This record gives sequence, structure tokens and C-alpha cells, in this order.
Amino acid sequence: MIEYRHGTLDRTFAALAHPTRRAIVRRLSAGPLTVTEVAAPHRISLAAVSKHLDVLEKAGLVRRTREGRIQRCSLRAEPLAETARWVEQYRSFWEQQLGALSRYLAHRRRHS
Amino acid sequence: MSPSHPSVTASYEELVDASPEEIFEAWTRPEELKSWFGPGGFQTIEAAVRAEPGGTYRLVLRAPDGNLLTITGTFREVVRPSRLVYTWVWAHAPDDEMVVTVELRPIGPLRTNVRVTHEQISDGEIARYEGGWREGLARLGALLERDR
Repeated sequence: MIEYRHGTLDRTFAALAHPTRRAIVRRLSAGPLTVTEVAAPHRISLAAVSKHLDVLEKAGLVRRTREGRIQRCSLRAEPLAETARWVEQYRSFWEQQLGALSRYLAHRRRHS
Repeated sequence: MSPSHPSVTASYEELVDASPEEIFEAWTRPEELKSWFGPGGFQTIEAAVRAEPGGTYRLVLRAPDGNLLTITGTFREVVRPSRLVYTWVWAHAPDDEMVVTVELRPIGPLRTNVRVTHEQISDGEIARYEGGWREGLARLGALLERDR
């Protein structure tokens, strides 16, 4: 009934548990950027941004490709889609449950 | 667990034509749970519930294909008739603990706003990360999904 891979979710949450990494993911959702472009709005070193990108890459959220001297970063949305699916599954589960609860209580009232 | 730990939350809210007391009883009495709990096609065939702080519960659901699924957990808060907080663990995924919060708010005679929050919590790797997790991961996920 409820299926998802726990490991992927763990890594996704952990990777996104940092405001800088969430900001990076949000910016990459508009399209690929070079590492320098990713670093630009943050008041941290290129090396620090690179570490955040490492974490995002390990979680499967970001893919880095090298074109000559330029490193380009793009978003991989699969792990986030999985998270959204988890939320939707339980939301829908409780929607059904509260419907069933309403019907049960209405039925009981009619027959009491 | 502190609230700053990362978590992801699914919530649902609905108006139910009953008093908070009726809903609270339906949620915590085994015989009543068996009458309504279980999503489409699933039936609750066993229910044992001790609704008090620290008390445990166990529900066995029969799936449409005949498989049996067990949910167990412990009550963290029991405030009759307005609030229940309990853990939720599927027997087939024992490391994956979730927390369900049920809030019942009367909005008229025989009418109650029921809000259920289902939260994914986890320890280990995630629990080591502190701070800053107040933005909705779900909303972010949905946004990114939509942008694809």
C-alpha cells in the first residue's frame, strides 16, 4: 500500500536540511548553472559551495558535468518527486479515512 | 526529537458532522476502529488500543489481496476529546517511525474540524543534522515536480 525506498528519502532530507543547499536546489530548478553562478549569491567561498554540491550530488539531487574548464550543475528531480509522492500517498490515505469515519458516524446516528 | 530535526509532513483536514467526543471515541475504541479504519478495500480485522500516554496500540489490516498488514505504535499525548499524538510503525518496516497528530476542534453543535498530520521522522543520519528545517520540503518537491 505505502511503498517507497527509505534510504533515498533519508538522503534527500539530510541533503535538504541546510538553508544554503535548499537555496541552491531552488535556483537550479530554473535551469542548469555553472559552479561560479551557483556560488554567486552566497557569501561563502567557492570551496564551501563545492562541498554543498558534493552533498547534493551524493543524494542524487544534483548532477555535475564538466565542459572543458567549466563545471555545470543541473537538478535531478527524482528524489524530490519521491518525497512529493510520499506526502500525496498519506494525504490521500487520510482523505479516505476521514470519509470512512464520517460515513460510519452518520450510519451510527441513523441507527441509534 | 526536537522540532528542528528534518521531517516531512502530510496533512489533511475535513469537517465531520459529529461532536469531538464521538470522533475521539471512534478513534480510540477497538470495536469502533474496526468499523471504519482502513483505506479503500482494506479492513481492520484486529484492534487493540490503550489510549493513554505511553499506552500502545496494534491494528491488523487485511488487504484486498488477502495480505495482512500490521500497524503498531505508542500514544504520546491523549487529551480527551481534542488531541491525540501517537507513533505509527508498519510491522514490515520497523525502522521507519512516523507520528500522527489528530486535532479535533468543535465548530458548532455536531460539527468538528478534524485535522490529521502524518509526519515522517527518522533517526540516524537525519537526526545529526540540526537547524533550519522549517520550510516545507513537500511544497518544494511539488514545486520542482511542477517545474519539470
